[in-house]
Amino acid sequence: MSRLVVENLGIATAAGTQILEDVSFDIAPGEIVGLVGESGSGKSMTSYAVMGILPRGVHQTSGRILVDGEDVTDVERRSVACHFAMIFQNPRDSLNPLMRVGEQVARMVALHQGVSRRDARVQAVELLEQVRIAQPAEAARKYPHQLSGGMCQRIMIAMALACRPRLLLADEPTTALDVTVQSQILDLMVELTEQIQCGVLLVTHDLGVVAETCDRVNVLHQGNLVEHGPAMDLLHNPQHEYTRYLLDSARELEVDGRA
Amino acid sequence: MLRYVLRRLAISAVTVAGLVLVTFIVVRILPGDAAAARLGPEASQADIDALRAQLRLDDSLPKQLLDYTTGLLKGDLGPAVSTGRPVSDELFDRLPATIELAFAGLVIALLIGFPWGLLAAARPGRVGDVSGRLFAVLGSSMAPIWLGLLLIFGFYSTWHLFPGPVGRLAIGTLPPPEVTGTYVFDSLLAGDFGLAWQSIQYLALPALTLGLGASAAVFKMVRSAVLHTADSGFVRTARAYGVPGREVLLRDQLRNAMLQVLTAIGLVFGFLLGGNIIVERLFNWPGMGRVAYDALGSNDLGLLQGYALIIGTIYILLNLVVDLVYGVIDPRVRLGGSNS
Repeated sequence: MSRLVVENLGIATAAGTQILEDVSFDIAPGEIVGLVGESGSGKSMTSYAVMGILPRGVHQTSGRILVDGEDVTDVERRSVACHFAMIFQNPRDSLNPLMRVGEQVARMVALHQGVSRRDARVQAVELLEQVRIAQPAEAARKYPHQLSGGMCQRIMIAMALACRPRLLLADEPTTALDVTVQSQILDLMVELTEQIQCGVLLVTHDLGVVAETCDRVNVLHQGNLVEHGPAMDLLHNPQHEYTRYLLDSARELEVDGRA
Repeated sequence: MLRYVLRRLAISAVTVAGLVLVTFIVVRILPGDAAAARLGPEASQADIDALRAQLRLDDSLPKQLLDYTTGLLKGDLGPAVSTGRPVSDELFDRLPATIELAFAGLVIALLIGFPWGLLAAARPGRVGDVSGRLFAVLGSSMAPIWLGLLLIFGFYSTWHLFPGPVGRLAIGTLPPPEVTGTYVFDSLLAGDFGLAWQSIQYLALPALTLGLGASAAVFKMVRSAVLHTADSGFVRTARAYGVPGREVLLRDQLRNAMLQVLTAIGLVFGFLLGGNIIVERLFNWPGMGRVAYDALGSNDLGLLQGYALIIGTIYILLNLVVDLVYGVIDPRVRLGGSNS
């Protein structure tokens, strides 16, 4: 059974502008599915809609969202109950600057597993170890501004793990990081996905990231899903004009980068 | 943190020194001769010269400044020409009354402005927000003297709910034994609850006059600071992970907004201390503002200088306290700069 099924999802602004139209896709347990497209194609909004955190003035107009076969279209039934987790583009900004990172992870442990604060703290340190933070007990006492971007993203992933996620939404998780750190974070995500068998929706504009991590890809163009399929097929043999355009642009960048 | 505290202390000390210099110079360059003003139009030139010599007004400016600052270090603010008593006595006798009134005003401002601002930020565009914004416009555009008159008219003349504007206690009532100089607190210390209640009643209208205007400022600041955090990444994270709305509001949004809010509260308190000359006059409140008002009337520049100096110093101390509280709240301040 699919972990996540999104059927005919539509999103519009309060003013009536359609942001997303009739988008459907699914994710199997342990599978990483990419959602690619240029800025403004609606890929981040898709992830926000699934997570149930659409910004003020934007709302879902159509479609159903199912998790393990259960209909959770009603926002109230998502997040805590469904064990959705999400990581974002700017990891440091995504953490509360006034709270120790260990405390922030522990807060999610307590919230999602209903354990005492003390147990939550112990578990938080274990989670930091799980995301390969050296000296996790010491790191737990740090504040976000004392950690690098890559470290902050690891903290975010630890927070995601604290939710025992069935689904992880990753919105441009490595865009703001150094190239060397990028692949470390991606490797960690791939490994943990395998380990806990959650489904991952990876929102990115970076086809290199897709090639490295995704099992399948959906291509979004101006709010419509224009192509989908296994990552390798799609990257080597794109069918839709827009996908070819994206690939050409990426290749040009790569050539420029080497020159 | 120690470096931060020392730095703040040093900056405050420099600011106070600057304040001393500026108040000294401003009073010296104002037109008017203190000696001539005190002796009146009938005085002979010889008398004026004699008084000038006695007040050392003929010394060179640097000499005067040196004498003045040496005096300051000993707590001597010079003589008040209009009353013959030392400036420090004139002002410090009245300081508790001013602090009591300003503090009561601040409490009212916080009780009204803070929760309302928080409510408005939690549900922008709803009733609590719209009514609050209306209140803020009214509150900040109404002159204190007009508001004070309205309150006296309503609560004293018409409904007789509160005593009239005759000062801190009913005429003929003895004040409590002095400990802090604030009547409410001293009455409680003396165990005289009747007197404490009377002090509160006399305090109510002037404090309300000050507090209502200030609550508009507090409302606006709390609302905008909390609302500003609603778009930040960590609030999005907390919401995404299903943290309950109230906890997000108090633990994530409000805590991060507190830095701005504290600054505003410091400013508001400073304003309440120094800006209540008119309210003190209106309610016959025997505070420092009354002294300054009378000093203006009798052209007593030395007394005005002392008033400006004391209010300015309190303002600087308030800012110091706010800065130090920043350090407690914000680890980025406490632990030094960001490594991004």
